[in-house]
Amino acid sequence: MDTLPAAATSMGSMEHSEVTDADLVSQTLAGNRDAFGCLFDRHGAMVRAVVGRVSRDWPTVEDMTQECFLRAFNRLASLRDRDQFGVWVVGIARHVARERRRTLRRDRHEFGNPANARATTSGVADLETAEQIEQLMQTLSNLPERERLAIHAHFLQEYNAQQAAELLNLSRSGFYALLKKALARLVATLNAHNQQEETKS
Amino acid sequence: MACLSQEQLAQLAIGITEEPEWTAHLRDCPRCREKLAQLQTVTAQLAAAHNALRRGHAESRRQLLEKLPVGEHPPQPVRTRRQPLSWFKGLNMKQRILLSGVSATAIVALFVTWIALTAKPLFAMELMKESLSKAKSCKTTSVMEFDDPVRPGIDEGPDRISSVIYELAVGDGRFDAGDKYIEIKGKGALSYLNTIYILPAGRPGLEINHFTKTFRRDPVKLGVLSLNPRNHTMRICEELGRHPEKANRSLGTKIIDAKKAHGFAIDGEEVFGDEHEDGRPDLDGPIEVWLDAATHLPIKIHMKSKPGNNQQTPSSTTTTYFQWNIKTDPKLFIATPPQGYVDETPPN
Repeated sequence: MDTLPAAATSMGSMEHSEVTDADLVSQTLAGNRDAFGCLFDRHGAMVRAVVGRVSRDWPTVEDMTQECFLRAFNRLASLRDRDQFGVWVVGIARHVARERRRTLRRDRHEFGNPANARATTSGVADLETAEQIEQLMQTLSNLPERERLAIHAHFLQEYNAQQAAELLNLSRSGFYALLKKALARLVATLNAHNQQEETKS
Repeated sequence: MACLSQEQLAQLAIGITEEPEWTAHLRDCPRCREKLAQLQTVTAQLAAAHNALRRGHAESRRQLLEKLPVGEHPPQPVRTRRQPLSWFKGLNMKQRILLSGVSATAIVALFVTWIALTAKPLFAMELMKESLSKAKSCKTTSVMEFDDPVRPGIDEGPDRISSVIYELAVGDGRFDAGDKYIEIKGKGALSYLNTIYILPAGRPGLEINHFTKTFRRDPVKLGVLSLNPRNHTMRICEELGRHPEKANRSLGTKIIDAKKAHGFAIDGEEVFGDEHEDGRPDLDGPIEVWLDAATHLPIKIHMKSKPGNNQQTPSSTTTTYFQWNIKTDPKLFIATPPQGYVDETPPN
């Protein structure tokens, strides 16, 4: 069995590794489970960001993320362009998120555990900042999908500019154009929301 | 300089660019500075929120790897048929629009080329009609062949009768089955053999039989042709041109008399309708018309006939050697009987 370079197996060094997604997929198919762990390191946060749109409950987000990667593992051999693993797993995540949203619509009685809510802010100490971030992420979840993905891809450190652009099937300049548009829209929406809140109070 | 747009500020907040003009403007504009500060706060919060997505990653990774089937490789691919146009999904929007535009242009170009190169029967018949309307005169040779050698009065066959037909657009016609055009074995030929029909438009016609040395005057038949309409080439062509929709099958292209010709099959019965109730043979199958690719005028017409009242065997008639717009001698259409011939005009 081929083994990964030692540097490639730890998350921190993964970003700078020369090992491509295609290599990791090939090694996973050859039976190297650590290689799949490395794929999880690279794309896990993005998958969490995508599925996090439909649930603010952290354990649910984690479950959905694991579900995405398990589906990816089981179908890995059907992936034609192995370098496109990131795009592919994000596609699975979108599908899982849609399924989850449908389930939630059916089972309206289901409530998340309030203690586990705030999927993205439970690590933030400052309560006011945590609330602001929560508001920000909720506003973000209402942006058009590609703009949302552009923001995730930019702010997740696992992706460099080229990889982020590839994830959205765009050129680098196209990606940046989309990103600045997304940010402008996000801030405008936040401002509009804040103004509404001020008017109410 | 005008205030920076939200997108320009976003560009600065992300750190994509540092335009000196923008930076200079920011120094002087507190409103833009405030907006930029807000954007920077948002980007910082976004970075914090995305960092939070990594918490518990190591534990999550461990759990995921535990869930993977032990000692098993991922299932091997099941060969599935590649979906048509799946490659299209791999293109971005700009490429899709470009490809769609190129495809649409190519399809239109192909269609136009096809229309231009393929002689469509419908169009061809209309072109023939237009060309015919400009024709002044026509001279053709019509050859009638009998398929069945056993006919009353004729020994054996197959027999072949050639006639030369002159026609003017004004309506004058001459059907000349002179003896040099008759190829017949035995005696007792059909009544019109060795006969000339002169049919000036609007005047009495004349039928001269050189075989019996007799003549017969035909009364004026305004608007009606004395002979079988199928012997009048221009009339046939005019009729066919009036019904372009009946030309329903292309026969392809071939060289006839050193000219490129497009052929079409036409349902003659539908075109001529009830005009054959005079006992003339009925058409057997479609009429084949070959048009000159350059002038759109006929250069060959072929039709088959079933036995009728006056003809007891099947026959085929081929009209060929078309000469359009030739100068014709006006004497050809003067209905004067030859001297010494007996007048056999029936009494009215």
